[in-house]
Amino acid sequence: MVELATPTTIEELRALAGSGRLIAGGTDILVQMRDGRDEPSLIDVSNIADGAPAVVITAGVAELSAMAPISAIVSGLAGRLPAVAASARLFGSLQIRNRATFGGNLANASPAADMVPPLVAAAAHVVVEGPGGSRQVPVAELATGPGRTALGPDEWISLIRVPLPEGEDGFLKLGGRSAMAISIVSLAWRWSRDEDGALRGVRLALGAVAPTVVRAPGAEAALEGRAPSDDVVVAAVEALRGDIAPIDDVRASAWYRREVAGDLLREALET
Amino acid sequence: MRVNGTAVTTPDPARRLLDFLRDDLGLIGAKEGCGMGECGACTVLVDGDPVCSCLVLVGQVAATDVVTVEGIGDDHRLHPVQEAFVDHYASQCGFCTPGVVVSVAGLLAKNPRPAEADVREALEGNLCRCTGYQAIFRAVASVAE
Amino acid sequence: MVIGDVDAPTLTRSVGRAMPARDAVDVATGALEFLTDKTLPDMVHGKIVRVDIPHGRLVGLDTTAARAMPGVVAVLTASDVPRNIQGVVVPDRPVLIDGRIRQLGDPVALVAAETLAEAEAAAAAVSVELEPLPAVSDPQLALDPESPRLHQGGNLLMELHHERGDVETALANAAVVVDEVFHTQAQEHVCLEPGGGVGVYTNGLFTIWIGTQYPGGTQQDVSWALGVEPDDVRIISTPMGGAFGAKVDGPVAIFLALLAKATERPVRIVLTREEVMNTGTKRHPFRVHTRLGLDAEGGIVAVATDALVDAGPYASFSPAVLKVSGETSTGPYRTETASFRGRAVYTNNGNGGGFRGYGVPQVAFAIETAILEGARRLGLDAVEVKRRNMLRPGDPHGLYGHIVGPSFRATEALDAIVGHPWWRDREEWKQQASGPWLRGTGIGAALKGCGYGSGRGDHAGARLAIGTDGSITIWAGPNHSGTGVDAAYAQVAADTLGRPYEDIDIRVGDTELVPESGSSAASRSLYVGGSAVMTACRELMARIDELGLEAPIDWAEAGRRLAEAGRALVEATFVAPDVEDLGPLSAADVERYSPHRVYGSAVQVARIEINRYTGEIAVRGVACAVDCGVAVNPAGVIGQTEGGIIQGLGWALMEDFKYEDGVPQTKSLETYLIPTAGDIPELDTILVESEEESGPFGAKGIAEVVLVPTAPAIVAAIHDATGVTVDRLPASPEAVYRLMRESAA
Ligand SMILES: Cc1cc2nc3c(=O)[nH]c(=O)nc-3n(C[C@H](O)[C@H](O)[C@H](O)COP(=O)(O)OP(=O)(O)OC[C@H]3O[C@@H](n4cnc5c(N)ncnc54)[C@H](O)[C@@H]3O)c2cc1C
Ligand code: FES
Ligand code: FES
Repeated sequence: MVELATPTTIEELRALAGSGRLIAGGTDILVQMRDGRDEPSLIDVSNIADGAPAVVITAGVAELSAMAPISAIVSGLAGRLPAVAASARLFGSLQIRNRATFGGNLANASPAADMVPPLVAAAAHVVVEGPGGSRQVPVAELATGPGRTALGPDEWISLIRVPLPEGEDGFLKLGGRSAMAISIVSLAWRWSRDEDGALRGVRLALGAVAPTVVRAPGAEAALEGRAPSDDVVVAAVEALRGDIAPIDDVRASAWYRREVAGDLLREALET
Repeated sequence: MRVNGTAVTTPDPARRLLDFLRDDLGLIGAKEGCGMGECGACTVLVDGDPVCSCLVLVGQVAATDVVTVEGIGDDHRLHPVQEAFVDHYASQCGFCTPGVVVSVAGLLAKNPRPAEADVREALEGNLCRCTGYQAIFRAVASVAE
Repeated sequence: MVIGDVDAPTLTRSVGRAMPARDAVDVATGALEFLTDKTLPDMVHGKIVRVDIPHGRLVGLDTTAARAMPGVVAVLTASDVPRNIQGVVVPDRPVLIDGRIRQLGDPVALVAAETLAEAEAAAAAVSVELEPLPAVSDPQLALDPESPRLHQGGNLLMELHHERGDVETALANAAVVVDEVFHTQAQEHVCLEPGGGVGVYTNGLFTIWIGTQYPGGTQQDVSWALGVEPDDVRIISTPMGGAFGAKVDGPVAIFLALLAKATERPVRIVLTREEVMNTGTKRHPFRVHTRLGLDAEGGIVAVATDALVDAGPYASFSPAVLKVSGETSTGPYRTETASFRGRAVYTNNGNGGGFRGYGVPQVAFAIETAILEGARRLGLDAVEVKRRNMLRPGDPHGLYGHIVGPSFRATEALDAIVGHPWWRDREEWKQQASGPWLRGTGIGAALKGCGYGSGRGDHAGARLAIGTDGSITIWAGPNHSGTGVDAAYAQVAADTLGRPYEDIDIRVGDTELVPESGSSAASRSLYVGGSAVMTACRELMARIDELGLEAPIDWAEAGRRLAEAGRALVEATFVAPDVEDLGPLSAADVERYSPHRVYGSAVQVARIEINRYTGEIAVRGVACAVDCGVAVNPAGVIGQTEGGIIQGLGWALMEDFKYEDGVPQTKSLETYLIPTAGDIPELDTILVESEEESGPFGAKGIAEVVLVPTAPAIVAAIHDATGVTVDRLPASPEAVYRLMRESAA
């Protein structure tokens, strides 16, 4: 028998934290439990009334609730954070987006988690709450391996702080069909262009090509300060293929992931 | 919780909403096609938003309004979506249909004149293996006009 | 759009009108109770204990702990099955495993308990001791004498061979010979309702509510396994949530009967999606070696096809599927010289069985793609090559040489598609490609026989009752398996009787009331079952005629007078005619190959976009011209066509049931992808009508053939867009990307 606790305030949640597994939208944890994962007690975080609003925009930063459904975040963003919005649009189905949360996507720590690459490319931080108060963690450091995070058993993610883009940002997802597909590879980027077309502040993040969502330092360096001429693109694509360590699975081969990840960067740069 | 407008007492909060609706309330319109969020046959509206009732625990939605396909029309009249599904041959085996009808009703309540792209987006989570979807799109278009 | 040579006046009041499914209102309101929704008072819940290895031996089974669990009412094992063997075509499958395990998910025990949770817990408590054996997972290796034998007779389940003319000489004299190997993958039906049902045993009689395309066959399966008379078993089989060939065989009805008898209570089993994915039948994977010889003008001089078919662990319908593959291996094309060799091989992979199209899509993909390649080598247009070789009514069939019946309209279907704007304007459309997307357009064509074929006594029955109030009830043949064929039966009845559609009450899917009519399969339901309805209605009209009533008929009076005379109940049988002109075939060949007298055909154009960076394909439009005879219910024909196209699209692009050493890798809808609403192109159906003299009001069957041209059309469109030839399905992003990279290098 599974127990479900349903705190409705942060205080109640704080008192319960650590006594069971958190459940937000349930779109990962309930699927895993159906598959045999044993979780005797669950703590619902989808009914916290005094949590943060879905989206708050302050000077240069968007604060997103980790516990609000993805569909609520997208409507709250109203066009800001294009990469996050693009990823959200391709995320699961409407039914899933109406339940699934950013917090669950981050804490589940799938290498293919789709909300993570845009957040990593944006140098976002999460606000982690726990018995000892709150701390900030870069999104890039939250996942430590597939299904593993730097969160303590009594901690939860309350907010995600995302700097608004100064230049361009975007997201491309490659899946096995047009909707409702786990990413074969995903790519998020941020950069600005100066007057002579050179890229500045290049940040790239990729999903499903390593044990966690990763940056692509080689490709970033190959692009930084350069205008994306044919030669520069070829060098960046090659560098990116060297930055990642994909595996074979039922969705795609490691070869395809490695190669096509480079072509996703090409698509991002050329179109 | 209210289900189709009637207040109901909820059992064990860790029960799946789908099981509660089907087994306890006898509302068999919501179907189980996968139990893992992939098929949409179990779609119901929670406070107006379509969700997969196989991935929601009763305790999580104890304070909400749940509407199933049985509550889309009323006792005397089909909902226009239901009428359009009949008139446009939008079902074959019919197993997906309750979930699809709920998704469409949810869409039209928010967006009475959806473009085809909106309809597709609203239905991406409702698999249909029989119709090829176009008949469903035609049915929805006829109501949206 | 409708084109054809059907005289308008033959279209009477009901036939030719679009009709919704008869259960459409109940479906839309959610009121319709599917058989897996059914609950009965005092019902217990059944659960199947399954093994988790693909090949091995059951060496120990201990049910003691399970029997002692709370709520458990019965636990059954192989020794509780009176006749522990089943199999429609070849009895090669135990009901419950007593030794050899041949498939992951094979059942070893059945549990019934008061609640589903208790049944699940007890099933988990059954202790199973297994001795694994190396899995046989490659059909080619399975034929190696060193490979473990899955059945006593070895791993070659069936070999079929036929040659017409001298193929080697013809190929030697051809201007070009395309010599290619094509591979196709396993496809899962994904009926949206996973399946199951309810069983009851009272006073020596079994009643089983279970979705089956062949209630009579299920009745035989149950009566055989339980050791009772068929009459002691009643199968009620509608409504069901999808079929497509998945629901023609399978052991669940037997499980229900066993548990119902053991518990003496109603019992329900509802399968999980994973159980169906692991153990349900699949479309057979094929390796097809095609040699196509063309003369310099593109005329087909010979087709040689060698098909190696992965049948999986049990025979199911593999032998019948192989026959159909042979018959359609030359496509809808003329040739005087052809050969087919097909081998179906046992492995520990998915169980090949019936799936809409029944062996046609695999060989159609091969012949269509070979023509594409042959035309390229000759510098000809592939569509022109298809047109010049297209089979016409009265032509001898390419492989068997029997005469193709007069209603065949493949050429007209091709012409309709060639005239379609998506084909006509293809160059202009291609020029407008933008961004990462390349564009291409392609055409595919196919034929498939209607009915079981010659020499198989293909028949259906109908029972008609006229009430003393004049009401008409007809218990009619092949079941409504999601197709709404019962609406078309009512249309046929209405027009034969000259009465309104609404007056006709049609009942299907109940062995107690519906005469034995074979399966709802093989594109035969309306063709054979509708003809039986028509025969019954004609017999009623003849009886009314004898009463000498004045027109307009007073139906209540007719009903009363027939009742008084004991003639109010009509039983009729329709036997589908065999091929009239067998050409070179002998009577023994007819038995062996079951060629068809009546064929339906379909031609499609697909326009697609391909992402040049990733290999992703978006199909933008598919138009299908379907050679359907008279469309009794155009809504039904269009619905079948659209649904078929999308199943064909799924098979072409994404559906791929994978195994590794016999272990399913895609056992849920998360990893086994089927098309969603986001993947759907614009669709356009063109009804190409003709009058099939042997079908009801000129109808023939089309629900399978419409699926077949989609993959070849898409493959041709990929070729048009990129120059690469897909020789292995599915054309996944990775597959297309790899081909594009190879051709660039
Ligand atoms: C049909 C379907 C489609 C999907 N499609 C996609 C997709 O396209 N892309 C994608 O990336 N994912 C997809 N997913 C996976 C899943 O929906 C996402 O990972 C989702 O974001 C999880 O959020 P949740 O709120 O449902 O998490 P839950 O299942 O509630 O929780 C997941 C994990 O996170 C923990 N957790 C939840 N909230 C918090 C918190 N605030 N702080 C700390 N820990 C927390 C839980 O304890 C649990 O371990 C899909 C799932 C399904 C069923
Ligand atoms: S049963 Fe809920 S999505 Fe399939
Ligand atoms: S009508 Fe059968 S699944 Fe949609």
